[in-house]
Amino acid sequence: MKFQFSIPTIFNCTTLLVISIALLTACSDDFLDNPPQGFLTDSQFPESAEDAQRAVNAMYSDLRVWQIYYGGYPIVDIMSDDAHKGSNPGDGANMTLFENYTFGANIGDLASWYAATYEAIKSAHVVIDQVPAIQMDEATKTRHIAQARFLRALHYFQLVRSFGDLPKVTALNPDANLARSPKSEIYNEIIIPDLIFARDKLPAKNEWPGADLGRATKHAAQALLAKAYLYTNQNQLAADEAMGVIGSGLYDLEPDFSNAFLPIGQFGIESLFEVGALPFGAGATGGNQFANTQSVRGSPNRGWGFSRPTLDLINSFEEDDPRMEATVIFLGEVIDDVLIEGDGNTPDEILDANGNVIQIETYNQKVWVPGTTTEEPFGYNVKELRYAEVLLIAAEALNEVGSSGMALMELNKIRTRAGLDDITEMDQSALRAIILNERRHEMALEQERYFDLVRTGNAPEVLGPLGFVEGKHENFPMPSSELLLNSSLTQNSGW
Amino acid sequence: MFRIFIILAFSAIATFGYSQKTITGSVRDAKTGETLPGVTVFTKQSGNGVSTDMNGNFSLSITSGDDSLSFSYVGYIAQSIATAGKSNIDVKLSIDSKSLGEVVVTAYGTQRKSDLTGAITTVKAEDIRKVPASNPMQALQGKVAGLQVGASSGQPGSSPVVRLRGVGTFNDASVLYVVDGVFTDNINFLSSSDIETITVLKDASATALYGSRGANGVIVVTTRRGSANADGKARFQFDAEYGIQRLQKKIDLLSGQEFAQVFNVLFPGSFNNIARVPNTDWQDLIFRDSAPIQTYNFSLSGATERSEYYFGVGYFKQEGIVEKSDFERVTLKLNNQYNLTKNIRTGVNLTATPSRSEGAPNVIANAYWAWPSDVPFNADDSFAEVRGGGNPLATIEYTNFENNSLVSLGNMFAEADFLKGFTFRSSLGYEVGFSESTSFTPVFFVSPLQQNVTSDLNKTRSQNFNWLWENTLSYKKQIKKHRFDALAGITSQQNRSEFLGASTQNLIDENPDLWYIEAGDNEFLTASNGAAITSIASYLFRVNYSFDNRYLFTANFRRDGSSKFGINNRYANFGSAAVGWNITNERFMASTANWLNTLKFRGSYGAVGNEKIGGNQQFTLVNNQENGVFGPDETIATGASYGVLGNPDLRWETTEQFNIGFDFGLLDNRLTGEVDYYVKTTSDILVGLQSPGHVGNGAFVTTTRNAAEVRNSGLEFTALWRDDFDNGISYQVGGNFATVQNEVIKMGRLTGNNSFIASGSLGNGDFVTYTEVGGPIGAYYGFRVDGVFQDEADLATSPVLDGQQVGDLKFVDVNDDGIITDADKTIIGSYIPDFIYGFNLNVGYKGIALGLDFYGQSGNEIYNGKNAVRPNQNNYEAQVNNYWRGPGTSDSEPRPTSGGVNYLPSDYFVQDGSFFRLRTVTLAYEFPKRWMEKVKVYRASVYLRGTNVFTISEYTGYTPEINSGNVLSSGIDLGVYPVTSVYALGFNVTF
Repeated sequence: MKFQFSIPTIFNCTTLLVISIALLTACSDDFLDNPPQGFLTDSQFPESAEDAQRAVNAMYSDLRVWQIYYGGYPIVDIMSDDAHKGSNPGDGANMTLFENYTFGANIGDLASWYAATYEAIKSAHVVIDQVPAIQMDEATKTRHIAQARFLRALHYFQLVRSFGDLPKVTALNPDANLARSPKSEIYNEIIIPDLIFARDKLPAKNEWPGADLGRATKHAAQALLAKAYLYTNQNQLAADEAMGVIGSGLYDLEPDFSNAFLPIGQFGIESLFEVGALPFGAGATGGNQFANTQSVRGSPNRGWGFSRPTLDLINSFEEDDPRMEATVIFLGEVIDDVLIEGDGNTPDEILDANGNVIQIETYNQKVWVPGTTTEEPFGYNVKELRYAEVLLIAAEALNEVGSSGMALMELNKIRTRAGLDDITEMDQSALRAIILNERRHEMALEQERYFDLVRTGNAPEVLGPLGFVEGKHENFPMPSSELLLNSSLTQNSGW
Repeated sequence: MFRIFIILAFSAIATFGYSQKTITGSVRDAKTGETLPGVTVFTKQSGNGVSTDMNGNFSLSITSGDDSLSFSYVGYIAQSIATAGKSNIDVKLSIDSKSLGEVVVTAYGTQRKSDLTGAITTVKAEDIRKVPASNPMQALQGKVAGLQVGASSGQPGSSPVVRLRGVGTFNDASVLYVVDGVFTDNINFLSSSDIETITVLKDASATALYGSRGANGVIVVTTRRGSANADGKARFQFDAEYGIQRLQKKIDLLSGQEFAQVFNVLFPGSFNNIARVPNTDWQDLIFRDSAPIQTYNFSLSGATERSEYYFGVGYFKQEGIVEKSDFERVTLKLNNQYNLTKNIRTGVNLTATPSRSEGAPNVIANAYWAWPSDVPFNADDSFAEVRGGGNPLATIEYTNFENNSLVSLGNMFAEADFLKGFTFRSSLGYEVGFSESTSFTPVFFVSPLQQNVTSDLNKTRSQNFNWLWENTLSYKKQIKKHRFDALAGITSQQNRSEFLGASTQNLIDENPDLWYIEAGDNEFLTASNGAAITSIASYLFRVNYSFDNRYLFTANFRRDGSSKFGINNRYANFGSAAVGWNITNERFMASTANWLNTLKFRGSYGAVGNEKIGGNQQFTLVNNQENGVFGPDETIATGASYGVLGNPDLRWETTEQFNIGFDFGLLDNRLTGEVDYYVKTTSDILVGLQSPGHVGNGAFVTTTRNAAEVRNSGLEFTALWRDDFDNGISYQVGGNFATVQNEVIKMGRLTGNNSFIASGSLGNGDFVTYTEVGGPIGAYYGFRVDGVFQDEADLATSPVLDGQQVGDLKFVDVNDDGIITDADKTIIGSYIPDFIYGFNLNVGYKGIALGLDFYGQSGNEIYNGKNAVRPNQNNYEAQVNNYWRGPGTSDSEPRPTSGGVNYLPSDYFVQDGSFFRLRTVTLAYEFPKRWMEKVKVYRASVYLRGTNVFTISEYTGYTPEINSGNVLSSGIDLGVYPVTSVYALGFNVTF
């Protein structure tokens, strides 16, 4: 804005006024255009190859958000027969509602889990929608988009197996009143095509430069594709994709089961996809609160102590299965030279009315990070896909398509690592039950058990005593706040 | 009321016709010689009366008993002229400068008070200087009906919370200040002694020209200017005041031994020998007996034919009643105007204010909680461990915070009159602010819970620059009885602000010379930095029209374009219309003119806006620092992605206000006053609403949208009676009274988990305010208490909350479902008073003047948060001595506990916040002129003044003034710095 002031001109005030009107009108549109300081806006980003890289990196940040997928505690383990709420009785009382299946659609934890996952989907859409227009190396561009589609598929897979039918958002800025699309459409139009694209376009683990370890890979996409086929009863396809991963020769089981979870196994031979994290606070500094939520409460003070392994889980292991000790921390145990004393305000034992011990103070050892500080568990890498699961998917799918012999080969790799006897059962139905049980022991407290029981139809029998209602708890409800906010949204049956 | 005047009017007409003699004449303005139409001419005896015609002439028949004619006209001093032997009377009336003829500052101009149609109150210099405080607004407490001024803290240098006509937003509800034409958010940089008047613009008619910024009310501050003195000389004025501040009252807490007894109930055997338990009074230890407050002002002013000048310099220093909380300030003021020619004027108005303040150590709540059974020092004079939040004296010792700031505001203007009645004015205003602060905490050890392992240093810098260019063209015209003026203008404004902060730890040395970031450890270095630019371009228009001084009409219009608006709503229009009727200038009112001097009805309606919102909410910002972690060594890969979706439809909050009122003057204007009633509805209030999850804004995230609606309504009444006795005693009694009713009408669809906003965090996880439809903004929310559980039977038969025991507070089962749950929480109070009032009494006799100002508010509540928050075992207020100790012992005070159910939000912690206070009492003596002439002094006076001399209140805290700038959570006492009483001696000398 120019300001001119001189005595001679001021005599002709009308002229000045006219000039000033002209000045002001002429520049007022620019004058009112004040871009935010210190921030780009969506119209300015991403524009360059560097921007595209940043938008891709940001997608991985979403995976460290506490509420993503199952609300951090993690809710789906607490609902399974593997875990109780944990912590001391007064802490996180809301979680008791999940443990007892008494929660309603209005519980805030669901709304935040749902919203955080869609937020991650939005980050994928920043890449999918905006990167194609950027002038840059086409191969890199394709790799970016393939990562985005892998992650979008992962997010949708987690949502669809939890909530069922979903608002199908496939681009930025969706309609606020979007209706739900059927579960099958989410699988067939998003998850499976995205994963096929990612499988075909992403580099294999050994093709990524070392510094990119942790990014989505061809075989991570293939493994998730196998899982998606398994969930949609396309067993032959599931078996084929799982065998594709196995046949790549890039992956194997860690010789020691514990190593799959310890820092020594980070991005290791068994890791298909995990979320890199650093031992600092959550957010930009790279931390993830996932393990902090579940780690030992009290002494050492590693965390909050949620998702406590149940006696049922402990007792379900075969007698000499070393995975039990590797999964459960008991009071008095010494791990990595640290004595676990536990929490003073948490009862060591909980008795039922008849005086039987129904819970003991235990902790999830799979999220154990060596050390004694509260901060170290923030560096725990959440394992989204392990090779062990690929073997189990292969075994299950092969058994379903009638190749029980081949199924046993994959299953027994898991058994061998655990130092257990081979399974020889060839009957499809009996083997199905054995594989489900093996999944439980191999993948306890890895957010699979509840979904496994639901998809195999065993939930009413196994979880019924805990409160599971058939025809209702197969899906989580649409959060009631979402129903208020989105007038086109419908509720799941039973809710 | 209206009907009464119609009847009066008819009765006045009915009295015509008893004429025996006719007197004719004319009435003119004594100064200008212009004829005055519409002047009421009447006889006191028979009551006959007429109004002067368009040419100021009148003709009136009088009866034989009428020995005098009275002439009265709004804004002029009434005259009475004997009729004996006269048939023609020509009268010259003088403008009544002291009352209704006064010129009132309005938006972008001035207006004769008699022509006003809006609700405007002016506070004069002498009232503004009465309260010793850094912020001149402190002096307005109780002075203006509808204006609530409440201390936010007693900390030196703190600014009060100012609310005009209630609270009409969930966001920033502070009024707009206009200082010498420049818009600003606070006037704490002004010295009271540089202020001429403060004008409070209340209704939509008065504020509409401020458009998008007027919704919370506008306060126009006019600073002092030079004026010609009779002797043509410059005037030097010097004022000095020295006062001492004292704590108004202490909080009645348990002594050490009382505390030990209560504590032994909680934890038996903790104190074995009560008689040997020390009684430490932490309040005595942290508060000084008195702290000085000093003000010195010097000014030089005068005028010549060609120029007017005013120069002022002031120094203010207020020490805190807690150590390390001092504030000092220098104010510089320069107001010059040059008359270049008869028609052209130019000038500058400048203010520059450097100030320094210490950030008071945070020990008020600490002293309240600290165990009185612990002592401050160990035997070796080191700080002793003190339970209940640490040793307050150590906190004072180790707190080092200093803020230095410089604020400068001013404008340059040029003004030219041209043609006939036109004036063009161009004004370039600015405000710059610069503030820097340093906070340093050394390494220390008092106890494991009160220690600092590495030294900490924090530095902040903030600056803002704001310019405003205004061009206005005004036109004035009078044609016979038609008086007309109009204003058109174009203004543009831009504001830029920036913040820079850095912190580090582990300084190489603790010496203040090393309190710089470079002396710290790089490993701990953090920095933050941000900026904002906003701009507004506006067009404004106003028309005032008055016919025959009887019918008044005003219309305002402003169009604001703002960068804060969403791109889809860049411009907004605001406007108002108002009418006024000077009934006493009507012919038919002649018969009442002998006692009713002024009666004016006013009515206005209009819309104004609130623009105090963040500038970036229309945009979808790209969040930096959304980082991935990759690689065998796990390193950060920087990422960025879209944050919360912007709202391009964002527009400003709009307040529509309806105001009716009347002004009156009775009995030779000895009794004057104003009454106003308003209804103010703010719609499109910006509120954080959730968006559907699938949109992708994330968990717990709300986006700002125009959704809620709030209504404020109230009645305001102001009256002043002034008179002189024959014996030389003059006196005046004035008062004002205002009610406010605040109600949330609409909340938008979804805020938080439901349609309410929970706020008022106590810092322990409890939120104690709740804003929902049907209640006032920021209402207290919790359980209602109905006594104490007396015995097991009582407990067994009452609805209970999990964990409640005998001796605990009994909560009311509001929803009657047989158990106590969160659903039984309800509204248990509000910080908004039902009414506020002030009154004053001034008596003068031969240079001695005594003045008393009272202020009160009623119907508001305070949440005693410091009593509710129990971070650990703390000291208690004295009423705990009456705790329940068995059936029938107490039905109000529960058994002592250190936390738990009795500390849940409930009305146990809600106290009546009503208070009545002697705000100031002043005894002044002005030395007789004849003495002063001998020593060449123009005027001199001395005075003694007490401020906040007493406060009557049931509140147990230091002061019932508990105000926060956050409209959603005010009135919560978490240990506020006490407001003091001040006793001061001062003098003024003018040469």
